[in-house]
Amino acid sequence: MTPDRWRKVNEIFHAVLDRSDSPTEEFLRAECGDDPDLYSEIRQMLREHKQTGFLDEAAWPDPDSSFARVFADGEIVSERYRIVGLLGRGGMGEVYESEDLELHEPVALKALIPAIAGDARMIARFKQEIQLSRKISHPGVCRVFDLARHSAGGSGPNAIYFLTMELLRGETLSERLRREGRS
Amino acid sequence: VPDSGEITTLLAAVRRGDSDAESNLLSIVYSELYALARKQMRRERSDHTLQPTALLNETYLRLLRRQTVDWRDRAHFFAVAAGVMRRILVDHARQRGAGKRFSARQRVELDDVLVSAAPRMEQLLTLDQALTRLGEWDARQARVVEMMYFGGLTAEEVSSVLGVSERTIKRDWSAARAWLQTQLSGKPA
Repeated sequence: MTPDRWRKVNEIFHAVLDRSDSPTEEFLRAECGDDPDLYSEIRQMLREHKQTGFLDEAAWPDPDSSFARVFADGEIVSERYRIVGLLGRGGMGEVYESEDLELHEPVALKALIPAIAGDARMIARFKQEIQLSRKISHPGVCRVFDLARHSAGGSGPNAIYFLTMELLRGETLSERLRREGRS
Repeated sequence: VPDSGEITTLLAAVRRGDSDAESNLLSIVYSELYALARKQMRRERSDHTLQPTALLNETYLRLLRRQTVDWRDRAHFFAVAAGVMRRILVDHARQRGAGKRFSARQRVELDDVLVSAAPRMEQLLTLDQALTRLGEWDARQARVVEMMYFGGLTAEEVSSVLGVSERTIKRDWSAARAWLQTQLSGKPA
């Protein structure tokens, strides 16, 4: 490939993509004339264009989630909740699906991530979140049950605060926005 | 940490096309970014997400704090830094190689946080080589890929960095991406 040839590849590639609804095959053949290599190069690029691939993944990996998580799958938290899986993660906490072993019901657990778990202000905010949500009862608002502590290997500073909440399935706000578009 | 004034001087020299200045700047940005990435990795366990744009911004602020920087210098800084991000990832892939085994202890280190993506390593090296070839035909397209893929910048950010319309950046990206994918998909994952 030379810079000139690459420029030509680009021109035809974009020309095909710009002709969104007309037959591309015929057009591509005509554009490439009697140059089969050019044709197959662009043909392959067009195929890749329609597929997701390596370059669509993040270059900087979000490390293996089991490594970064507060709770592991299968772990029993506070001798009562069995962790089923991680549902999502935000700036403050992680939300897990779990099974309440006392009541045999699924519940969601929201745990403060360790980086802020020892921060008194964050814990205060976390507690406030429960107090506020207890005052609200609305079908559009997720019900919060309680605040509990899980001591990971001892007591005191290693305790992990978590909320138990109604388990709701569905997509996140950002997924919804991406899917439906912002208006 | 080098003095901010020194960085500003280097950036101005890079803008004049001084290649020594560029390699000096490169090594400063490299060690700074590397140290920062390491530090981030050592933080609490759940904080391990490496965000390239956040890393770049933080490095930028650390190196140039309190300096009023010409936007073109800022653009050069980001272009250089995105290249450094590429080098950091590719160096790791090369040093560690794919398919190597790691102990649990090692996995806690930064190096191995990157290596947790071990199956990707071989592809990363293929991408790096293909990107170098692409740069010989179209230097701008290669920089666009570097900034967007390795630096995590958006098309809009790249457009302001390079002073080219966002539409052009998107076209650069889509053609470059498609060709690079053809180079990658021939290889076993």
